[in-house]
Amino acid sequence: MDIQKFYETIGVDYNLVLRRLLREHLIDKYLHLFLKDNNFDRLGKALEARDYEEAFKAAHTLKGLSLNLELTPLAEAAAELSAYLRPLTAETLDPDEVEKKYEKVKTEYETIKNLIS
Amino acid sequence: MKSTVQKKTILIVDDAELNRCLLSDILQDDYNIVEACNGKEAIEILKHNDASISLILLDLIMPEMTGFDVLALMQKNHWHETIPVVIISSENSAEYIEKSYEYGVVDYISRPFDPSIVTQRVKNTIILYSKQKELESLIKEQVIEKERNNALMINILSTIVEFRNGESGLHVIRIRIITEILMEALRKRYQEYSMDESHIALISNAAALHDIGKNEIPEEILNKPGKLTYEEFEIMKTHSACGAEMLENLRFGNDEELVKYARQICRWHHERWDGNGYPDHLKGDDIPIAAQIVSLADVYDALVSERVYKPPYTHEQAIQMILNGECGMFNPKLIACLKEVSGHLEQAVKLRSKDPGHLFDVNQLSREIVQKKGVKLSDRTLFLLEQERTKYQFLTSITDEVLFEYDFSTDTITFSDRCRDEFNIPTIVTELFSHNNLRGIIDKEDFQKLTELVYSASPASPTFQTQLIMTTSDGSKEWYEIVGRTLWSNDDQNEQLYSCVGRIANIHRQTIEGRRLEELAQKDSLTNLFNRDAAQKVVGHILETRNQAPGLMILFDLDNFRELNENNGHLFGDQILKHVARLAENNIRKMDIAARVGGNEFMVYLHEVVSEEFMLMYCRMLSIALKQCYQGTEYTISIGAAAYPKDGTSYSELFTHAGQALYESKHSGKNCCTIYRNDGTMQAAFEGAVPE
Repeated sequence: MDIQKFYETIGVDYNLVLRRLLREHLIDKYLHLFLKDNNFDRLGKALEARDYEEAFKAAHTLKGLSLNLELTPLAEAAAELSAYLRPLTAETLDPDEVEKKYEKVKTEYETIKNLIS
Repeated sequence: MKSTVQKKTILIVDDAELNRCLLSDILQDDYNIVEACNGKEAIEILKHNDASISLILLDLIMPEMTGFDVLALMQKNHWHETIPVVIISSENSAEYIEKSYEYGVVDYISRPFDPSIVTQRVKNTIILYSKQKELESLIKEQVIEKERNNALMINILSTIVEFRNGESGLHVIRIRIITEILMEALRKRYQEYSMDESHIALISNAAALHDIGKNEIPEEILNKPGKLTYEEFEIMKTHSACGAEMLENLRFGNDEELVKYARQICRWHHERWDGNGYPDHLKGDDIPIAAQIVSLADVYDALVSERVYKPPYTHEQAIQMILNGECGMFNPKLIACLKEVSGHLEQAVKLRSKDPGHLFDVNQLSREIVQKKGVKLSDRTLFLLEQERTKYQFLTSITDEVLFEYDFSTDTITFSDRCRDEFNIPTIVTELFSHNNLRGIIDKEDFQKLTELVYSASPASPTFQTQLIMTTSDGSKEWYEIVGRTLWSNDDQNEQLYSCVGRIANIHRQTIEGRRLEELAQKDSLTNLFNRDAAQKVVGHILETRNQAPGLMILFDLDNFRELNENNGHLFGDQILKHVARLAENNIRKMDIAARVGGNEFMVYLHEVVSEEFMLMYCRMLSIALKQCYQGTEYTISIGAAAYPKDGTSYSELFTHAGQALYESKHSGKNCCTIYRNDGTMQAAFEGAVPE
């Protein structure tokens, strides 16, 4: 997989990535590790079970991971979702909004997943 | 010495493997990395490795235990004081950052992080904290050194004791080690005995003294190769009470914890758990735990060592005998501890004993001390000491004052040499308070007052001063002034009064002189009667205090005094005044007052006169007494009198009325006496007689 191309496809400046993550082979390793991470699944399951606290944690972690790897579109989507979930009370949350934001996250995640594998 | 090449260890705590990986890759070239995927794991790692971890990189949002939970636990266990924590989180809200700092976090790095920043910050933090640790270990080294010296001293002393008992110094060292091992086991299993590190150190040191009472036991009994007779055993048993008594009679250090433990151990290391021990038949936990442990250690060591009366048993045999109850009854908890350590006890004792080289040193030193080859003070110190002594002696010898120094802990007072001449007492007096040993020279009340004065001093105001009467060497009582200063030791919390120094100066002559001068100021210089001011004061005072007793104020003067002066000269006039004053003085009682209140005016105040008739009679008497011839010159006197309280209740009232009476006398031809009446008329008392 051409990492440089991968980043360009998702709209991220590869030089930035390199500057932060330093070595190309490491980036490859990290991306694969990223896929192994289970937080995306956690997020989905939590939302299904309406466990918003759990969902928040998962979304938050996902955000962190994406930021670390400069997966900007996913990071932004995850940030939006986790920010929305932060108040954590089921009453104030609009399930439709949650669903919308989750969809965004899902889309980005799947895109990246496909590109990497 | 720690090798400087050794890498420091960093603990990374984050639930996402990717995050841990990222950090690990940045740091692993320079540090050892340990990872934990959640808070719980992190705590487990810290519990077992808290000394080796130099820094923690901590995520906040984690399952089961969040970063904050970890921080809270760290605070509780005081790990946060020695291990710096850096938070790495994508949480950027001020709230989280603030909260982290409240928990004592050192730094906060947010995601996405820059590897160079992480490296730099980690490095800086670790350097900062390692300096701290270096200082701490320096201090620890010092403490260990000091403790080792203490232990050495105690070992030497107890080895000397052991020599006499025919045992080697090894017994003492082994008892110490076994006691230590048992206490460590006790601490782990039974928290109720509150056994902490300082107790373990103190008790194992004190244990070395457990058999000092054996000094009092005759050698034939101590070293008898066979079984002791009943009488011999009874004597042997006294060594526990004896040893404790020796420690009770210490002049200093009686309250030291070490000594307290030593006393307990000495006295009760032969008590039994069931109360059948000696000397006091203490039972169960009435026996102090220190004594219980040393008792067990002593029994074990006696079993596995050779003695004059038996060969050594093996470790296993000894344990078995103790567990079977063949060698005394012990606290079941202690037995449990013994069982627990039994496996490694033998090796541990061997290991912990100092190596043979050291042992010989201890023995060597002890032998030398026993043969009285003491250690010398440095020559220079001795010389300086001698100089100070010479200076002090000279300075104290050239002064008349007696210098003193009192030590509270020994209740002893020391005086400079002059005390022998001044008070006929020795230079050192012990038991000052306990036996009131200065009662020969200071009486009880004064001493009590002096004591209170000294005790009322404080570090802020340490000096004191007083005057009192002391008995001199020839038995006379004279006035002395004591000036002193209290000396305080500064411990951390409260200042202890430990000594006071000062001087005792004879002020008798000054005091007497002072009093004399005071008196002088009150007297008229020519006649030595009270002067006008003094008269007012004294009589006024009498009037204030004696409200009931009637009194009589008499004013009189010499008639035609000016003529007398002109005819015979002023000197002669003075002489007559003196003469009359003398007569007046001689004709009054001790409690009456005679005064010269003017150039040629005298006052006599009689108090407690009986009645008015007496008044008259007295005036007549006085006029007769006062009128005499002086060296051939005749003179007469005019008198005026007023009574108290009839004619006035204050000095000025009486004085005015008596003066008015006197005026009347003067204008009635002189040489007569007038008594005041407050209705305006005066009572002419009598005509004066003409002198013979």
